[in-house]
Amino acid sequence: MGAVGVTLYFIFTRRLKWRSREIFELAAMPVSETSNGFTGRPMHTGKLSYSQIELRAFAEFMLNNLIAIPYFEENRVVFSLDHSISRIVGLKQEHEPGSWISFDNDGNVTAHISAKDYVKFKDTFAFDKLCTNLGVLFAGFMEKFLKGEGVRVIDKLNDLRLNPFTE
Amino acid sequence: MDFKQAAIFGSYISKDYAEDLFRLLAAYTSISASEAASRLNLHIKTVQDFLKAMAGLGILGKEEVFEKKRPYFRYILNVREISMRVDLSPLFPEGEGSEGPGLRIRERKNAGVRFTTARNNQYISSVAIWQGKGRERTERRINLSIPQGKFLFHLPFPSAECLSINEIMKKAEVDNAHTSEIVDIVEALIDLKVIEREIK
Repeated sequence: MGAVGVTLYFIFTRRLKWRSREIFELAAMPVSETSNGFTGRPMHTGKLSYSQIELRAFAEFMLNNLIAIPYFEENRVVFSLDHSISRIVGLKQEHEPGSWISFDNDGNVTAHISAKDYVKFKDTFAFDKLCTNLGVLFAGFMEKFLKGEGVRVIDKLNDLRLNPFTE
Repeated sequence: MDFKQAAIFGSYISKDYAEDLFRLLAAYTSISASEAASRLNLHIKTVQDFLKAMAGLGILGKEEVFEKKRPYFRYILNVREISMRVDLSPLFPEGEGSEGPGLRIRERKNAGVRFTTARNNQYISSVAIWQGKGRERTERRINLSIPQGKFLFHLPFPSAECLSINEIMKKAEVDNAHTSEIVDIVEALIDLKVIEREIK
């Protein structure tokens, strides 16, 4: 009985749930334009200021809270939103394929949404707006985290109240 | 001499028999293709093509003569010296006033191309375009210079507003010295239906 209770607690508080669906929901929320326009190119969405230590700490925060899987590359950290089993158990050493957001050493934030994730949206939202919002969303997460308000990131995701059993 | 004429001249002057043919032309007041071919033991078509090309460039003069009822040409050497000077200025991009850098563009919808991003960098390293249909389908890959790659990285998405080449170069932090190579790749990608220009 106790084990079931603990499991239900973890499920309903979303502590065992990867948050990619919430991320895409938040990215699509301000977009109403449905002009499609998919492209395989990533999009430069802005510039931020952070240190290497802060970026590493942010990567740890994102992984610990099951938001994104970080990949540490030579001059950037790439956050993958693909939460397939093979990636979670570490069988995939590359952030491709799948959607991702990268923060490089110069502060550039770049976002990419894969075709597979794009077709999961109910509407063919304007692709440039989606990518911009995704990058801005992660930049916002980073800013909140740097201010010591990481918990607000989790609150924002929880506020969507998506079904805890879905992907 | 323009580039086309220079190419014709260059291809003929590089033949093994070119010097021998010019020696004959210098020695004879006029000579026909068949006379020259038999003298040098060459095929008549080879000599005919050579003489015709040189006459086309004004190096040789030709006169039509009739033997019985059949006309043929006799060739005369017009010059004692050939200087080859090729004007490359028409190949340079047009200066100010051309549409080039002011052209407003974006990626074309459903272009069906694959952009490869350079690892760890903010630029596109190559564009792969598929041409043809079915079994005839082939991939054409264009490798980009770094300024071109940075430019294409910042090219507006198909659903975004068009931007001018100048604006995109500014966004991509590409120096103005690279304008001509950027305009060149943009024109190539417009032809390949990867980029579209703004319709006013």
